Amino acid sequence: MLTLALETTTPHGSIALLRDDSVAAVAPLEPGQYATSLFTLTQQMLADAGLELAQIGLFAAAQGPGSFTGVRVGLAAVKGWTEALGAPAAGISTLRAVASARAGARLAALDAGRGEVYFGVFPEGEEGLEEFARFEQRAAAAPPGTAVTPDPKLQAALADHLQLVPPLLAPAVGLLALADWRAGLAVDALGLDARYLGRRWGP
Amino acid sequence: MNAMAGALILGLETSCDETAAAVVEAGRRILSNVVLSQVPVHQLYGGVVPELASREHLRGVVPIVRQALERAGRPLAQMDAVAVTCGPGLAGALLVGIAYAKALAGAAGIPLLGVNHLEGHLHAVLLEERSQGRPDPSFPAVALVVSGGHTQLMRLERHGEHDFRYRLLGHTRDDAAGEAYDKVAKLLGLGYPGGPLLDQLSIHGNPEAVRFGRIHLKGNPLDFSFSGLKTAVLRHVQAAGLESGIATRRRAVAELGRAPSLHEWGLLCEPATLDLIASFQAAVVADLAQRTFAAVEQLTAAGDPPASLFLTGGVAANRALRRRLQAEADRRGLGLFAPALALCTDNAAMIAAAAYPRFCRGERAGAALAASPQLALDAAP
Repeated sequence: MLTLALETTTPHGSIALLRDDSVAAVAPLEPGQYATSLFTLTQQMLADAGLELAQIGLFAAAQGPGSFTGVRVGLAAVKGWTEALGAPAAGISTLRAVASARAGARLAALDAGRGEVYFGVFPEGEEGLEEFARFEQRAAAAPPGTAVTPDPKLQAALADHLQLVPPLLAPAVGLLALADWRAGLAVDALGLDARYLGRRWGP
Repeated sequence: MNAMAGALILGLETSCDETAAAVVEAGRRILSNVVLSQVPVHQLYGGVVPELASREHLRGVVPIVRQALERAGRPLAQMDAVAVTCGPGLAGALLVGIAYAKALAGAAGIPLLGVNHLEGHLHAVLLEERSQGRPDPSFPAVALVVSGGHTQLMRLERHGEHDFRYRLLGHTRDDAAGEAYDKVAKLLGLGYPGGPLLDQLSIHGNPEAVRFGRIHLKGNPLDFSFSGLKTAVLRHVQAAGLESGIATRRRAVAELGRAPSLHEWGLLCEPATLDLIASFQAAVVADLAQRTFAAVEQLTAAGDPPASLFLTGGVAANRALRRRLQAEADRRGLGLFAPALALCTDNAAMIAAAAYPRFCRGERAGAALAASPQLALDAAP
């Protein structure tokens, strides 16, 4: 089973190719060029592996929270690929991907900008809870040792609470998607949507 | 007949607030033309909210493309190319369509083409004529592209079956004409979108009741400006004491909990407001017509008289504008070509049609195709 995973929602976007449960390749996206580099890098990654897009069995994308535009670019790409190929898709919470990057992590934090944070709490064996809050409101909520972030600035600001995990999240997105697919939770192009957390967008 | 003559192009358009997909054969036969309007989503705000538009495109793109293929009775595997609007438009909205089209075309193993939205509006004119079995209009042509997002005068020439060239003659320096309609409708306590509503209400007012001065601009006489007219409407509202009527309409809409019907809007507008609406419409139409024919005269004086006149874009559906341009074009013996409503407003059939000549010339967009919010037509994608 080959999985192609995209993470276009954070400032350190990446793509990954998985062969069953092992990560075959990872590549960082070009900052500010996600909408184009995700396609050129995917072509290159597949060519390097001697593979065709049609051989991919599962397409995965981080579905946010994160950059609204980034979220949509990744999901739109996966929608297009899966629609044309009739392959299954899985949308993975970016916070869940962060939490899964370290064993035992129960809380994930992402910088939402303007002094705000996306927080995800994932108690063992329970459905996760995700929210958007002021930085100060959530600063102390992170129990030491189980809280992680891929954002160096956020980690530095909350050094007593947060541990840093590697920034490239596409492999984690791919592994979680594979787990979802095995659990029968994969969807088709129509079923994929974004996770928007955050401030109002309206006027 | 070569293979290109029957080429099927899947068009996709997400540049503003319509998610649209269509299948067009060889730039002349519309097999399907599906538009998912987001009007109900943006109505609440009296205008397009870019973030909301992008969200709706992401949700709408899969079902709309499926519907376009189903109605055409052709699966994706039978498409010869995918064409997508790559600008101008809202960056976030364009990106959804481009990423989807790129992935769809890439996975289906067919070419992708990026199309300028304005080129789409221009080809809507040709598509209308061809789909009605009529011959193509003569070139060169002067085109007025007028919508909620654009107001431009263009010169079109044709150098062969599939070679069209465009030159910008003038454009709006501030609001597009359709945007002026929306803003005036909003300030008068009327619904969104404002264009069709003001057009329909204007027939009940006196277009000469309020005298708006002609719009004067320094520099290019073929440029437009509508923000001053909007301000003049606001000043007239204050001077004529029309605020209470506006408050009444806003209350009525709130109590009704839905958009009033045309008849209800008519009852909610006092005669002085209907006069203002009619006068505003007359001023916009007069200005659009004056500059359009100024363009015709300018080219004629330069020894390059246009052979036809195109009117396209959402505001081309405006009845007063059509009548005015038609009368003046008739007087000058110039053929006026304007698409039917479904091809005037944003749609993807025009995108598929505009892509066809480029497809025939072998143009292809790669994985690097990007959204170009300010894309100009003389700088083709």
